[in-house]
Amino acid sequence: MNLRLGVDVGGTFTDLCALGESGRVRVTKVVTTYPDPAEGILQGVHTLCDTGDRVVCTILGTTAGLNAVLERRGAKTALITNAGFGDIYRMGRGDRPEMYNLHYHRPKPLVPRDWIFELPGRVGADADIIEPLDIERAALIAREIDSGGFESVAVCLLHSYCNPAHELELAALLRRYAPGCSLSLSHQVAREWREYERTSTTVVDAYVRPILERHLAELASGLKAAGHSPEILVMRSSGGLMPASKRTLEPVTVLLSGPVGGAIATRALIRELGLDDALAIDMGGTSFDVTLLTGGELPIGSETEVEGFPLLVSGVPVHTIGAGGGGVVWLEGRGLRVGPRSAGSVPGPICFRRGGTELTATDANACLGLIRSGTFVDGDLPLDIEAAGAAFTLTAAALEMDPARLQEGVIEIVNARMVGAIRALTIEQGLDARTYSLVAYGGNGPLHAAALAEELGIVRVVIPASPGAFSAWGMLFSEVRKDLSLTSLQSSSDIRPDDLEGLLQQLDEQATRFLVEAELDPGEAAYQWRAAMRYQGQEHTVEVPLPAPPASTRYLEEVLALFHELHQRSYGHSHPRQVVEFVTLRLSVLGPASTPEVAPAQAQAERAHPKECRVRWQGREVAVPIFHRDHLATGGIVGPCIVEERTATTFVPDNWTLEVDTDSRSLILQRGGA
Amino acid sequence: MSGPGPDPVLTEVLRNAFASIAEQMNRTLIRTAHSPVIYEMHDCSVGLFDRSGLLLGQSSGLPIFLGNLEEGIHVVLRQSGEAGLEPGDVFILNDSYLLGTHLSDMTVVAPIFVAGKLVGFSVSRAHWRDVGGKDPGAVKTEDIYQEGLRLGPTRIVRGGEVVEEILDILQRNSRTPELLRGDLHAQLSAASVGERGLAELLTRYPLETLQAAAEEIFTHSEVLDREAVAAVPDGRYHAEGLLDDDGLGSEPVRIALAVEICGDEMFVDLSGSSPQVTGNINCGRAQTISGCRVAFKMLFHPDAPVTGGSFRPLHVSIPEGSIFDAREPAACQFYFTPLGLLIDLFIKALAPVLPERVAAAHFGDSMVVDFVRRRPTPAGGFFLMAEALAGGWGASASQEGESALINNVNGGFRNMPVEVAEAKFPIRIRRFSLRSGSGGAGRNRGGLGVVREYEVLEDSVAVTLHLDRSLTPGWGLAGGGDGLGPAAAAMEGGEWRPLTLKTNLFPLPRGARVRVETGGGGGYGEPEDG
Repeated sequence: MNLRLGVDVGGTFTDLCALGESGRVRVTKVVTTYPDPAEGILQGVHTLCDTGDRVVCTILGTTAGLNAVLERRGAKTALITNAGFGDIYRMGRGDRPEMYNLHYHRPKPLVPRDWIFELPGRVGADADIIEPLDIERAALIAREIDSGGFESVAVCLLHSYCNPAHELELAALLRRYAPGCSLSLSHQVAREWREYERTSTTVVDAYVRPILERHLAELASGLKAAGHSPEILVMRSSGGLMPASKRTLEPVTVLLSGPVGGAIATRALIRELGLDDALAIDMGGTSFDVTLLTGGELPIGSETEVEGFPLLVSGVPVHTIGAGGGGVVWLEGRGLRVGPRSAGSVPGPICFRRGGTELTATDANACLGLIRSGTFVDGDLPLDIEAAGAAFTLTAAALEMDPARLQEGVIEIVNARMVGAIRALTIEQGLDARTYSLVAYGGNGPLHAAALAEELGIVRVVIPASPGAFSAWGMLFSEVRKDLSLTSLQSSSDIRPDDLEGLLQQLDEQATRFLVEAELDPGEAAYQWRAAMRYQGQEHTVEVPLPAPPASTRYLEEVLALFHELHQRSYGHSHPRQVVEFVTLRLSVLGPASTPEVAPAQAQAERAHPKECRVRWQGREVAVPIFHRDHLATGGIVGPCIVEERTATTFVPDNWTLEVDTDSRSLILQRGGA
Repeated sequence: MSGPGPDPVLTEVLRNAFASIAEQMNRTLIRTAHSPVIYEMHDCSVGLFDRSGLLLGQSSGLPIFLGNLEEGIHVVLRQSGEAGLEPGDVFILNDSYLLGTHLSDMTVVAPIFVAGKLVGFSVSRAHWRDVGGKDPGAVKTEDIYQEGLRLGPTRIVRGGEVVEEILDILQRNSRTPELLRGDLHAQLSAASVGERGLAELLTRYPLETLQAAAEEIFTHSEVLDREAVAAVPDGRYHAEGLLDDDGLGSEPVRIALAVEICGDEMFVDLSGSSPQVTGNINCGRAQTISGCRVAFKMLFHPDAPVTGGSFRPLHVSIPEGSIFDAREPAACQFYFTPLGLLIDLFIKALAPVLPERVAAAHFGDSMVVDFVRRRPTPAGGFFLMAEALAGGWGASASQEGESALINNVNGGFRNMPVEVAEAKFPIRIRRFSLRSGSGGAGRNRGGLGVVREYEVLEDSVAVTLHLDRSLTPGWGLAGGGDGLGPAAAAMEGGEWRPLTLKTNLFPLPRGARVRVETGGGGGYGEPEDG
């Protein structure tokens, strides 16, 4: 059978999800292998495939690039900038994000000062050449780079976003004199102004490019050797896919793709369920990620950062707080705290018996009876509840309180922190969380979801099938995507309709070139236009979705009206008489969406007789029925109850009901009963 | 420990809830403000307080707005008394002598009533674009009347309705009346978010429970701070330094402090600091205390949340009539200038007894550089390009000082990209780099300042500089050398000439260049040979 394969390579585990023509979904989980993650992936592919199965397309979400940055294991990279500006990369924007830290230092740069080369030649803000490029010096630098053992070069020259001539001249010399180096040119990586941000983006691109190329080549040849198709699509931070050929590879766009798979999966799931607005929450061992989907769409931002380095790339904004199951219980003076630091998976919670000595939220869940030894990860990871209980007794004594109350309290505190994060996020966007559905996944999401919903006033919770492998599943539902941008500062007081059309035309041409390179049919591609606009005097811009140009002679007026309207909606005020500036124009090209058919769950003939267990809930020991998810029949179940499966445990409190949605195989929890 | 207090879990849940309400207030303010300085530079701060004016939760965009918002509540209570507050009242005030800030920082104090009973306050402060004054930005002012409209506690909302007559006065005295109205409404929105948040908590917990939890939270903060102070050896520690001048070319201005540790109490005495000056670098008492709190926070538990119990062991004694006790008619627009040095000196004073925790001094000033064309001329229209340049920070026992960071009274402030400056203004930046050799020598070297060189592309442009700390640059510690102080020069016709560090509207013809160099941080430890 032909299979489409979704792969989510995480720091600890790699999840794989295969979908065959029959619509049957298979999932598996393997340990991520270092230094070559392809090894683990291929092992997982082997486990998933029966004789006669062939993977025709692999969709890959990978943290290989991100890890290279975090662990500083990227390529030896040189940076070339203008004379007089070689310190820009080192200086950044001069801000101190940790206001009261007397010893604040920026993150360690990926390129040390000795590997930054300054080159005479200058382009002005109006795209004029003020001083020609020093060709002799450029050739010398290229030779020095060639003999210096560099694997990669980043080039970022001032104002290349409006005139890339010097970057292109320099690129030609580098190809000639340093042919072994891979090359990242700032105007190609991010055609936007602000030299530090563009430099930072280009450096990251150059730094991870050789790593990612190797990783993809190894995977492709491994797939081929096992009789599968070597075709790979890579997940980008924007939630779109990128063909993994050398010409189309844009390494910096894949860096933060990790948490995005879950958001895409949520989009696919809520569309199927006919829901509009959802809060996607991914609670794993170390962190709690929230994504807001309004109107069934993924949010998209045009700037992000990794470890303090700004990146001018499109990305789905995912908000993270340190509040996973591994969140550590500690005392600050006499105050009780949980997180943000996490015990992670190693040493992990005390009850995991992997050497962890600090109490965590997971230890509390184990002591309360909400997760059980013997069924947690199907019994593959026995829980030492006694050790966790003993540790709670000690900490509770220090606080002069009842240990059982402390266990429940730890969960209350973790939930309060997550609720606070969600409230701040929705308030910031002027949204009311109560009108959203909560889609909960990750190992710990389903356990906490109902309690969070209760606090937030949310009445519907959705737990997808295989919540632990939801991101890998989501990979199957994305489409090829390319985000193009062009910075050109234009003022509404003197821009002519032709100017705007001309600029949009430039983006259109770039899009066409991409479609040819990616071998996609332009007839099937969708175009999304946006403009970053603001009132004169503002620094921040608002991203305005634009109608397809050049609709009419009134196009410019329409766009300005859209800006005022969006500003009013976002900030509560607008000023139609003020001068408006266009800063950056954007075009996202989307290939045809893939909407694979998933077979509905097998209806269970009979509800398996539930077991019972005792849990502590709201200050009392209560007996609660336990179901295994595979044996759950359709039809409503009234809480309280617990649903167990390999990768997660779902808790349904007493004023909630549970139903199984047959088509999507998800659990739907409704507050107050149906 | 004295017997079981309130439930530790509930206390922590409520602490998170208070912090979340403050965060929601701040995001509402930033999201709806009209002045870019608020929604981009986050020059604002909010707090949720209990009925006695003790801080429950805060969120701040500027380090120097550290936990002194309660002063606004005290001023309102002194004037009206608790009995004089009615549901639906909101007060505004900006008096530099009452609140310590410059007049453009507007403080909004909203008492929160639930079921007719006063239960707390929500307070916000935000930098309004213009509240009048002799020039936009009020440079070179000599008294407070030149700096804008000054307000004591004023009911801007009565019975839930904005008092339009008061708003009308404010708007008629501003160059940007529409922004002013928008920013006021943003602060009122933030206030109502705080009010709703507290009222909602009170539907779930009785006031007594909230108050008991708050007391417990305050105690936690107080214990943390007291333990930190008690760990410092008792004694009296001194430091002093000089500001270059008062901004109008006066003699150097002396800043002196003594820190006395006595058990778990810390007494800061600013005796010996200069009397009030004619220029606009006078600071009101409330912000002087904030400055000391910033230094305290940098030394002790910088990550711990600030609450109504924080800073209880810190007592600040401010000599009457000094530069730190601005009184009418002192000008206060650059009130933060002496605070930058004060914070450095506070840390220096304690260096002998906290060697592992301190750092050498930083470059020390906001380093304001403005290029301006005041009136339209044939060469072009009005423009103002205002920058605050970064500099070097001090080294410590464990590491070198960081280079090119904004000064200690600012935090999230970012430099203007070269590409943005050149696209928006008739200016070309010829060089923007680290200033080599500017960091103090030492076992660990001080951070480097920056060099920024500008070329003016049109006529009728002038430059204004406000650079300090040449007399007391970023000093070294434990045998480390001092960093270089700031420098400025202008080139016309091929020749560089030094510019005075406080320069007002120095005219520049087309093609002229200006070079500004900021100071470096001090080094730490004797330099090692070779």
